[in-house]
Amino acid sequence: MADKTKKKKKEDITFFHPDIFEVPEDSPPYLKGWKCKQCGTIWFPKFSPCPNPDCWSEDMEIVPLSRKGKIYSYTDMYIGQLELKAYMPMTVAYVDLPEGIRVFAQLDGEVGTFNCEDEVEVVAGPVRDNMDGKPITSYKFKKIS
Amino acid sequence: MRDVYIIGIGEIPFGMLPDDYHILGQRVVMASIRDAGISWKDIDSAFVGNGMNGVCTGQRMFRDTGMCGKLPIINVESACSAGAMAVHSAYVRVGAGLDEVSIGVGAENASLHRVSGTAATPDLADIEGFLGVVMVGKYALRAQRYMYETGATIEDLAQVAIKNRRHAKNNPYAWSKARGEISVEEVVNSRMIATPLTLNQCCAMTDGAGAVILASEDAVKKFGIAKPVKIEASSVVSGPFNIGHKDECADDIVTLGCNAAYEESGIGPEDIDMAECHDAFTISELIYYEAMGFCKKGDGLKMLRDGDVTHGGKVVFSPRGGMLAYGHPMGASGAVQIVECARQLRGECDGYQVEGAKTALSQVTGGGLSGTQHAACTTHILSI
Repeated sequence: MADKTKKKKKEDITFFHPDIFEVPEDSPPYLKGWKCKQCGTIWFPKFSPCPNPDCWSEDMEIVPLSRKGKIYSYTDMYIGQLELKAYMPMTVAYVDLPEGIRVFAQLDGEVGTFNCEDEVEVVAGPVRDNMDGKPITSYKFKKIS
Repeated sequence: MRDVYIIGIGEIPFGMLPDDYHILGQRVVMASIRDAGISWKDIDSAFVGNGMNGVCTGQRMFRDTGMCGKLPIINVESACSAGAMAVHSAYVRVGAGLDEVSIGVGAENASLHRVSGTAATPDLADIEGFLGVVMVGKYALRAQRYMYETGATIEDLAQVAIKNRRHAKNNPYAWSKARGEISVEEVVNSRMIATPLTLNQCCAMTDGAGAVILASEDAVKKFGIAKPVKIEASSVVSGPFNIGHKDECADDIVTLGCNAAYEESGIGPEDIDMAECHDAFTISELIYYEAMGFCKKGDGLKMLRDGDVTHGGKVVFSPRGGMLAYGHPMGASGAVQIVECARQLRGECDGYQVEGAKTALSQVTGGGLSGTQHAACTTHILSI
């Protein structure tokens, strides 16, 4: 029988996503790579089992990724998702990490201040609001000054 | 596979249309059946492409033509590639000998289903979508890198929009607000959407539909089709998955899809007279000259500047005006590209005819999926 008592609405997430991003209290934040112990490939974001079709191993370990990378490309977006109006304009980028991984991310900083090949480092910051109107924290990249 | 021919085409002028997708679809189904000069009873199966309008889209469309219950209707979804994938599916069914005649339809109404002032977004289940990307942002990232690597300017990018709108000047099916002459200043100084892409470098989210009827050689003879258009190749590929440092000034899946079509047909880019591509943004067409093999890597901008991609050039790109002049109703575009290629080969494009066109290529990608450059790509090569 269906439960007719009203359940308390579950609060929406305020952190995205513990499996891919770590913000330690006493050291800088870092992205988590998912390394396959069988074929050795490092994946980002989380893939488990390993998406290498010749592997598909379930044996994955988390490895911290480099905190610093280079902007492969960026754009200042003035029109975006409806739910992100308060965040516009927003600069997004592909950041290349030395592990050979490319990460898509929002950039922390003013529009019009970024260029291809700029060096950036990972930081924590709000990326969008949740269903309760509270900011969700995740990774962003900031120019190394 | 046996040979497959296009025997009927239908489309309606694109724009902000008050009728929903299934009504737009019905109109092009009826138009294509009349164009072929056959009866609805001659159609053995239907494939319907739609992006985001609902479920059971094809059955809803065909119910009101009275054809529901008389044939299998299969719905096809892959975002922008859906309409062309529907035509591909009909091609496979006829080519395999299951059917003598099959119809591929693409239909979409964006304006009734979307909030204005927002941009098309990948699924929020996709990490890039969650972190805020929109489709124009993904293309802007490519454009910015292209400018960084080649020295191209916004004014260079603008030339694609100027060319395509000019191509559409006399095309009654293109969006009335986007066809005709436009100046560099009007393109460059229009509202910034995502640097360096200004409003007039982006396709509009219009509404529209297209239908293509495919038939076997026997059926072509039986119905006495005057100008059957042969499908030389119909390829569907999925996007290579690569989280690494890939070249965003190239396009792996478009190259993969075109090469598959060139191999299937034995026709190379040097033999192709015209192409309708996924010019949703100015940068995409520029990249596709190279990705499709019409020029060497790095020579795309030169092709555009030298007039090689317009009437009188090596290959006429986007003679209908492309998405930049039609607008881009997600599920409809891929089917309408094929309609327009067939219309050109039949020599029926008064005022925008590619003179002497014998072979045409259509290409449409689909979907923002992180780790791929596009989720899907459908390519057709047609001849007469």
